[in-house]
Amino acid sequence: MDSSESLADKLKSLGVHLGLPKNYLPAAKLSHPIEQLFPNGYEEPTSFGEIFVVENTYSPNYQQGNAVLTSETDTLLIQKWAKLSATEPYRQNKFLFLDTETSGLAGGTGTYPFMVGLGYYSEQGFTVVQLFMRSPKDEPALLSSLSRRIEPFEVVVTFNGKSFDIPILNTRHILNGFFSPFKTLEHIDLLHLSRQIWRNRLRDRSLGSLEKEVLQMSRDQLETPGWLVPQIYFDYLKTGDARPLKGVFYHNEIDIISLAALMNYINNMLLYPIAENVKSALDMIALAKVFESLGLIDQAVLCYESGLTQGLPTDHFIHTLLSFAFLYRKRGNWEQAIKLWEKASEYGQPQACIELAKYYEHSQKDYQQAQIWAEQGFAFLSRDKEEHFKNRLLQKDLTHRLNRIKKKTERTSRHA
Amino acid sequence: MLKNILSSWSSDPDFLKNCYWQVEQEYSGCFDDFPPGLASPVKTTLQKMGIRSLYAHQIKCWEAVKAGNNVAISTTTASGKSLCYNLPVLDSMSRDPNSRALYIFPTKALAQDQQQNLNRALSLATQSSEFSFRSSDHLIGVYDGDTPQSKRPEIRTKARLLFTNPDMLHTAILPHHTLWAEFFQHLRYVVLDEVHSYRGVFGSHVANVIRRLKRISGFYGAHPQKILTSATIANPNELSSRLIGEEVTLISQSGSPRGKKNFILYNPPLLNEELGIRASAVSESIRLASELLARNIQLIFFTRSRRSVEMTLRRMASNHSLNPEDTRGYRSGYTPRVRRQIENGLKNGEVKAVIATNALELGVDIGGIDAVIMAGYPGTIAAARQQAGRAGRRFEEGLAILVASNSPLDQYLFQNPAFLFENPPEKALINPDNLLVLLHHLRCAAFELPFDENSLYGSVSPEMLNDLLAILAQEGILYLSGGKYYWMADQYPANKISLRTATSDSVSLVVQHEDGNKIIGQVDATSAHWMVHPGAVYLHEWDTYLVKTLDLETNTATLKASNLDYYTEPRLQNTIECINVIKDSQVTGGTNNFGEVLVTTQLIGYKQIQWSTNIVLNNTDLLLPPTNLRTTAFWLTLNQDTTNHLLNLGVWRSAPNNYGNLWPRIRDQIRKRDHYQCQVCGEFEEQRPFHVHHKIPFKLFARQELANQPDNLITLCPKCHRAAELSVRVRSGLAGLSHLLRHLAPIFLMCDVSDLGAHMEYNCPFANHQPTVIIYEQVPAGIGLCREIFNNYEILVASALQRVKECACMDGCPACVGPAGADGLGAKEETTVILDVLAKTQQD
Repeated sequence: MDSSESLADKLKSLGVHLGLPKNYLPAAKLSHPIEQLFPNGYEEPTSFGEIFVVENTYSPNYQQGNAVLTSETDTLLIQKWAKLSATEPYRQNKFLFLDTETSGLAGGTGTYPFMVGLGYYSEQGFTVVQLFMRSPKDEPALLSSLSRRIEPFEVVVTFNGKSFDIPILNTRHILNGFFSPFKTLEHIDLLHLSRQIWRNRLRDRSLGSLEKEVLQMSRDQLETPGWLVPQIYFDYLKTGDARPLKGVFYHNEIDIISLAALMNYINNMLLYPIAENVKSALDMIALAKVFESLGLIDQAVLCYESGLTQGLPTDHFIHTLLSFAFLYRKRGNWEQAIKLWEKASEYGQPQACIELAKYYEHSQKDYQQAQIWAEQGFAFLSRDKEEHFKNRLLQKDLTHRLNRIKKKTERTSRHA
Repeated sequence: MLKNILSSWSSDPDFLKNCYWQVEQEYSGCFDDFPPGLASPVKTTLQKMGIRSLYAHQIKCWEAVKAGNNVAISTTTASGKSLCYNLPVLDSMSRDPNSRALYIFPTKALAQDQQQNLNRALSLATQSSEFSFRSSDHLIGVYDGDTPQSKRPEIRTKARLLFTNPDMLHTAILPHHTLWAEFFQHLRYVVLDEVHSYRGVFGSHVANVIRRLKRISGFYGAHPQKILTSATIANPNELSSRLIGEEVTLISQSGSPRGKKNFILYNPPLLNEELGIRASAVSESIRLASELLARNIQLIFFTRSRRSVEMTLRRMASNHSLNPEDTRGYRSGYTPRVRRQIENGLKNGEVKAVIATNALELGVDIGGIDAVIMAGYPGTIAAARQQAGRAGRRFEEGLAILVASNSPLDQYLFQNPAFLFENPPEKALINPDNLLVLLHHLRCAAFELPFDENSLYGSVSPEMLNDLLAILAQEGILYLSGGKYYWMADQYPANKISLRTATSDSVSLVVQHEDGNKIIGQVDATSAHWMVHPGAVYLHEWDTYLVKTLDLETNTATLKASNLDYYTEPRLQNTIECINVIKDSQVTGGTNNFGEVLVTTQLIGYKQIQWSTNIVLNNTDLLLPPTNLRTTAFWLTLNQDTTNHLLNLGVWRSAPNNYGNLWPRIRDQIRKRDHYQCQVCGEFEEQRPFHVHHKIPFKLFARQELANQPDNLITLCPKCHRAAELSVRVRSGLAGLSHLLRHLAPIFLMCDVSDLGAHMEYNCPFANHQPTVIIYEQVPAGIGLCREIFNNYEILVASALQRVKECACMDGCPACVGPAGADGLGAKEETTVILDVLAKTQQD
């Protein structure tokens, strides 16, 4: 190789886009260090070096939007939903709320959390602790501090932690040769529950959107959008200027508080659905499904009824009639189920007619009624101009059913 | 039945005249008992499979693996290579309930095929009560792009034999290695099957993926033993050890029996002796195939391109009343389900003929076939042997026919059958340290696990490694902290790097439909300039598209489905600059160089050529921005003595023309004779006088008077003149030489003709303004092909001279110095003179 040519020049002439060399501004490191940005921050020593910690405590019953950070509540229903093994409600101070800020969203071993935010209830109220790596080499110290801090808790609560935060933290532990404490910790991921509860009402079920729509609060101008976070951290590493990180700390802290608030909010919905805790009929019917999945039929019935009486958009209304009817049918309450199906059939719902035809054919052996309903269903289906695949299947099923009913009618009349 | 046709051919003088017939006698094989150390469950499995003894090479492999060595097995097609690695792996699995093995296959299809075979064998064994891993349904897992997301977690934790491909290892497994922590901790064996396909750029990438794999395994404390298999190539040992960066024990003596084999080299009869034009290899192959099929002989018909598979299929179907179920195509692009169906059809005899690309060449299990026809030399001795190896069953006679095409390579082989039968097959070259490839994988490796200042990476020197890491740090991809380089980008580098190409940029081909746009494929950015320039006709799976636009900013080309009766051919202009000379040596008649060059290629226009007649319909000018290729090159510069020698012999025709004093008068007379009208397009002269053109090039006449005879002169408008000059452009000796070298070099390099480019300069600025032939690699930074040319220069020149002298054509043909111009004048004489000079030393 031509010794006068640098490796970088050679790469460039091979067509490698090296990008512009980013300038290091070590001077800024001195003028705006992180320690100055957070005078209440402190360095926590660990056997793997020091980690920078920022801690804030909120007074008991702190109000986040329209939710309260209260430490006195019974979380058994959420625990049950998350399939935790305990049969008794955990005390609130056994929950650890966790959210990480990472170097990227791509995942894989090249993504690391440079900040881990933790929130928990204490005697002083609600405490948020943020562990921050001033350099990637602080990672062992961060993990070590994290392990120590996790010890008193039984359940970690996250938003999308099942597929993001916890796998990344597990990866980081493996990479540093540590045992991951999360393997033995119970986990509640509120993302999935939130999706179930607000799927009818909210298109966007991100934490930020829930905060706005459900908790009805907004963040101040310090807020940094999540997609900017990795670049801000990289810039900090390069320039040492910590000022833009203020927004990242804020973002993470509010995420933690909102997470705890959301947990209480949802818990209240589950505990007292009919009291004024559930704001919308759409939420109410979603909640009915949650109760149904938990096997809490009485609560489910209450929620369905409440949803139906509160008034729903037509498609949801019909859909709810059917779901509600299925619930009754499952429990053997045919009388209620028939009422709901009949109601649904008034809205031209073919599925309800099929269910009624089934009922009269199999339970009542009333083939005349069965035929009437089957024919009604057929009429509704053919009225639907759109040739859906599902419709065609229903049509096929109905034709089959009608033929059978007719045969049965003939047979019974012959016997008679 | 095969016997009958063979005996009828052997008594047919017309057939024999055009062929070289080699008979390989049968071999009864070399067997031995199961090795004493073999675990009894494995022994039982073998017995259930009906195996009572092993081939000698399988036993040797067993012993070498048990001795703790890495092993490379390079034996013929269908010699039981899979058992070589399955034996020690299964043995280890049955002894250690934790041990894991990683099987890497070059294609998804092969992995699935091998998994099915092994599963079938093991299902026999599970009936045996003593089998220790009987209970596990998850023993073998296939992890490739088709594996459903929902099944992946289970495979990651439970599979003990993981079947995958290098691409999957590269993009999905290594960057997420923590999910595989347990797998890596217990990784005992890495099996690399069919490693001869890991050559060139692909091989250089795979070697780096293996470096990363070793780095990650090492992190988990595992140092797996490697077992590699290869078809027969010249350097299985070198290739294997470069791929894995460790020593290997080579086993190349096959102990498996084989039947008698007839290998026939067949040259299609000459149609035009003067122009050296022969009947097309494909038509002759189709004729031979039909003859075999008529006698119910099962066959595989290998052809070089996917397109040609479909065209052959159609032609076969139109010629004969074949049942479509009997004759099938086989190439990449067919769905795995269809491929399995065809493979099974071959095995059980339902399929009589398969027209295939080399997709079928890689060890897919199809059993033995009666006959193999290769329409054209597949490019390498190794591939030819592998394709031919499909013919014949273990104890029955087989037939392989290679039908030569018109290319210099094929014709050289036909004249020198010893080359194919006696020479070792080619070397498979890789260059894991190709800077571009290396840099790509360093990004991936840094993402997977931070480098520190003491880290090593393959055989890269610590200084070089540090320099490269520092460059990545400066670029802002890595961050140096506490002596470690941390990944510092919100990126997943493996996704941007394809193992199958050197550069990562690609242009998407977007087809505009009435109901929206659809991407039909991709072309690498460099090729895009000449493949999908505006106005180009792009062929894709039987459909014809016209390229509307090429946007190099957004890397998209928009295409429109069209029904055109022409294809396009780009006109490219190359210039080459020398960056540095790595090695040079004086040879008789000139200087040889090996070094780095910058090739600048510019599209200057394109031709539209009618499909049916091959007539140029139109010649369009189009200027695209030039593309640069920095690569390695070999160049041969003729010295002054050689040029003088040629000039003295009267064959040096690169000097500028001197038409003589009378020329202005002659020119005017001819214009008048031709009524001031272009004799091609009929245009009349207006302001500027038209040109007068020499039908037979001026350079080819000894005296001006002869060249300027009126019947050799014709009036042409400037446009037609340019076209005429192009078509009759004299192929000087230099051009002939470069054609010859470029087309013969692949024989020694085990590369494709398209891996090399050739260029010539009469007046080469970086070679003292002497005539120079330059052969360069098409891959940025090169993978070592040109170094090999430099090292094997003498053999190359000798065989080039031999080729020209043997060629039956009068004055150049595609099979030697390149096709002659429209008037039948080639450059054979000039090329021969140059080669005579260059080859002198070797004889003296």
